[in-house]
Amino acid sequence: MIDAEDKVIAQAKCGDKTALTTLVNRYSGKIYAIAYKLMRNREDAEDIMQDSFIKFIKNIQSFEGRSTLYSWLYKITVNTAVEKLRRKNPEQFQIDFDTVDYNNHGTHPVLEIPYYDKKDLDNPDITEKLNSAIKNLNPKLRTVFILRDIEKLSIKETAGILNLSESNVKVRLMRARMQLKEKLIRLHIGES
Amino acid sequence: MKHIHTIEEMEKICEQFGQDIESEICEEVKRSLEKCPDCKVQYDNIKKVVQIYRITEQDIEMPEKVSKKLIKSLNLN
Repeated sequence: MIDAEDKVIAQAKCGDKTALTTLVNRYSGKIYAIAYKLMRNREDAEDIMQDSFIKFIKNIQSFEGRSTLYSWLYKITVNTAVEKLRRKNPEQFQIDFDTVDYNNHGTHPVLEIPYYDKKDLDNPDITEKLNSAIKNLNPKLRTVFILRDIEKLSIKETAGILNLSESNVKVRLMRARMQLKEKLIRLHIGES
Repeated sequence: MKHIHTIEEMEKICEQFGQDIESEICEEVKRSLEKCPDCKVQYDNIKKVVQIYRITEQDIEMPEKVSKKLIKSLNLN
């Protein structure tokens, strides 16, 4: 039995504009949200969403249904965002995060990140600083952190979408979390 | 006195964090960290980082005008 989504997809594959509109309207909100999380500004998020849906419409005939349509579209969006981040920050994509630097860990003070309650996290000043910390994270690390820790994808799913090995995802995730931790500690002790 | 974290310690902690942060395996690591107060702080800090960002990174809403603009730009109706 063909369910409602499959029927709309079949119509969209035939170029039916109403079906395509239905699918775009169904998923655009979620696609905008993930694009925003990766790009960190509304203008870029809009561009990524639009480019992703252009690719989606152009390639929907090749969609074979091996994943859900949303998963397929999600992967298109993440890869479109990564391509744009790479073009915008080519030098940052040259940095190697996939091998562990054994010389880059020394003695450091053990400071505790304070407990933030809901009220703190509703404070625009704090949220702006938290946003700034993640925005300044290298895009290679930010992408893994967003997919794994915020979007709650598995290591395997994150690796699949980003075309990385699972061990590379783990190393990048470790580095992302450590760097954010350092940024939050500096935020707490009042350093910029 | 400052605690010196070896790379092995840090890797062990963070490698395990590649798993779901609330998974049983992470809980086991957490229990083992009880023996090392500074390592426990490091563990809690990283867990807090994930929790803080999960709270603050709520889904952002797409403005209505952006939705309309998208449909128009894709030449849909």
